[in-house]
Amino acid sequence: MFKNLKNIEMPCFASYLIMISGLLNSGFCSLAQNRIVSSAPVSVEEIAGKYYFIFFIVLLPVIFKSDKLLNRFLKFVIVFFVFYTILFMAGDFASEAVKNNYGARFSLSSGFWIFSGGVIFFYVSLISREKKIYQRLVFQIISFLPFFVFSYYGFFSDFAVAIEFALNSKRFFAELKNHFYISYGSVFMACCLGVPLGIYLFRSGKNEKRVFYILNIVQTIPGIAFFTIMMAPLAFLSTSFLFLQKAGISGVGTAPAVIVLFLYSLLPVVRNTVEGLKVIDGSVIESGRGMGMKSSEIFFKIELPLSLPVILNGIRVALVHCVGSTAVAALIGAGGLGVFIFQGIGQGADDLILLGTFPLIIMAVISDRLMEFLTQISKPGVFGR
Amino acid sequence: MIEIDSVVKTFKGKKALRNISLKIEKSEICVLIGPSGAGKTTLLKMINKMIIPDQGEIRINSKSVKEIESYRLRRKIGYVIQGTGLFPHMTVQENIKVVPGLLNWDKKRIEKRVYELLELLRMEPEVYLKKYPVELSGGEAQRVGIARALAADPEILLMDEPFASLDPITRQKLQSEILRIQKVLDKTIVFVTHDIEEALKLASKTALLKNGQLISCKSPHELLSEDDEFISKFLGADKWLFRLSLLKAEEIVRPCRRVLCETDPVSPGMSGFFWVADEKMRFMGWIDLKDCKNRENIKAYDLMVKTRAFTGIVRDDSLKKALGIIIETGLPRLPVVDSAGILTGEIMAFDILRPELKSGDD
Ligand SMILES: Nc1ncnc2c1ncn2[C@@H]1O[C@H](COP(=O)(O)OP(=O)(O)OP(=O)(O)O)[C@@H](O)[C@H]1O
Ligand SMILES: [Mg+2]
Repeated sequence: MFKNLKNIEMPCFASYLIMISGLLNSGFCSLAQNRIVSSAPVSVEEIAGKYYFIFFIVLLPVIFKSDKLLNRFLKFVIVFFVFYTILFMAGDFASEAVKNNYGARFSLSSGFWIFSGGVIFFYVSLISREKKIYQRLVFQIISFLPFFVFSYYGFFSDFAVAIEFALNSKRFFAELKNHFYISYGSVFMACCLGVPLGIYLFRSGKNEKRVFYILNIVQTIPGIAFFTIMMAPLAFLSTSFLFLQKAGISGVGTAPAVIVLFLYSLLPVVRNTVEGLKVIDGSVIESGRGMGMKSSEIFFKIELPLSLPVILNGIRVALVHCVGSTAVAALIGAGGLGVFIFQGIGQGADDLILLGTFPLIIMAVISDRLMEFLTQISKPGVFGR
Repeated sequence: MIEIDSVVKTFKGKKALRNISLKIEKSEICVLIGPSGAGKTTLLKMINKMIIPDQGEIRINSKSVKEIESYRLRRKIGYVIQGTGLFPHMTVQENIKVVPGLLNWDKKRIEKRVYELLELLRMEPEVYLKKYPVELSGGEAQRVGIARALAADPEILLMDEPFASLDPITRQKLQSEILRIQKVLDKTIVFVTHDIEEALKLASKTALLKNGQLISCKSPHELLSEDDEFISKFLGADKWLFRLSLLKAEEIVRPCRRVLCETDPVSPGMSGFFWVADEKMRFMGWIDLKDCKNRENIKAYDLMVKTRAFTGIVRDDSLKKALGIIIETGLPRLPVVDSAGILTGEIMAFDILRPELKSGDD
């Protein structure tokens, strides 16, 4: 079996080792009798019984090379089967604990996170090999669909995170929506101003240095500092102008957050718009002109489509940044998922923190993938269809 | 017909064109040639109003281009530039469709036109229609560039060093395509190039520019017989080689004097140089008979120098090519064959070097 090292796929082998070390970690999960007291570690053995090492054997085939699609498919099935089986068993364990003591809190802890780290490493190193979008989709479904199915049917509902979620669900969705509106809204506004500004800077060839100078300074102000700086002038404005107050604008809350995030997003959007237009080959524009295109036709049929991938990439950077920074905006009362994080930190409730960070990460990743996807489809001639 | 009437152009105090007048007849290929910075591109771009002259005017079919809106004018003039300028985000098909699209042709007609053009440029539509410019070789891309310029069937084609970045073989192929297309479609072509050989091959008229002035405007033949110092300097010592490249083998072809059939016996008394052909007079090789020992019962075929690579030149080949072959093979003369390989005559090395060919009165 081990005769030939060539048959072993190194990334998979590494992820196998990580998974195993996670499973062997005595603090795979943790159990506290209530929210306040400190928790006791729970190992995989306690969750899955004494034959838990079977998982090690089941996972073993994963380390071998898989040039065939079918083999890769099987590897995915194995890894995620084990992953969900363990998660499922943990859910069972949690239910048992909660049944005995209603206040009990069962959380996933270091061992589990190491284990999932291995799973994610496996996922990332294999999924990047699938070039066809449909194959990818199949693999993505195998990996993520069970999670949603299981959670929908309440298998995980006795995890502490889920309990926190249940307790806060109304607020959770409100803040999730809030988070989405603040971050996407800021970037949207930045696009509305940034793209035309970029086009203007490119066209006029003037003021470019000055504008970037300012935007660069804006970019270097740390988030927290910027949010607080914004509070004073806005508070002043809203007390001076009644109509601003009526519109709900004040020193704290959404307005300063959106303004700050908008200003942050401006640099990547403007810079990429200018760059995107600049990199277009002059001969392309010239031949467009020579063929009798009017300047509006040149702009819409040549310049815009050709710079679109670069512009979208700028928007992607801005968006991912904003989704993250919006969490900090909770500090000045803007709401968003940061609310749970800071509340959790305040109360020392780790699961409340998780309730904030999980969806935050997912939102950031989805935003990134979405924009990446848009970027890809916006450049036909460059990467093929 | 394009009339360029005493145009002057100054860029920020630098005189790019000084009073140039030039008349380009319909169906002519006029090649603008001259050193870098001579003003060739400037002059070319004035024709489709990419550059407006400071003084003077340009008339197309007796109508001043000033009176035509520039985008309308340009849609009626094909424009090909170095590096193609193909739109990278559009397929071959979409690229070709641009101008007919701007002119609001109906869909079916555009579709048909794209096929026609690709076929005209010897590109299989099924293979190329859906390709993007990055997926094309330099030569293919330039063919598409030409097809695109021809899309709306313009009367005039402007080409600014279109083949400058191509390898010599592809370049020659495309030059031949231009000549063929010109014959088939009867376009007026204004062509800018650095490459004198290209100019001589394509031109029916060569306009030599220097420092924004028109030095001469003649047929390629006349240009080469010109004694002007600048022209001689511009062409260099290669001038004579260029002249040879314009002359065809047929101009000095003579009937073959000594030909043997491959089955003929070689008798002891024979000596000298013979071509060998088969019964149908197809060129086979040659014999150079020097000493006459032991020639009993020997056929021409046995002594013949056979060549696979070299099968003779045709009447249309240039004398430059012939000279090259003479140097390569070391033969004092070359066989001239027709398209079926049948020996029809010969040319002599010393004929190529004959002084009267040099002076140009042929
Ligand atoms: N847009 C412009 N602005 C300023 N000067 C220009 C401009 N276009 C051309 N010139 C100048 O005019 C002169 C002629 O330029 P042109 O491009 O016509 O030369 P060319 O003969 O095409 O040269 P090449 O063979 O290098 O392309 C050059 O000296 C050039 O510097
Ligand atoms: Mg030029």
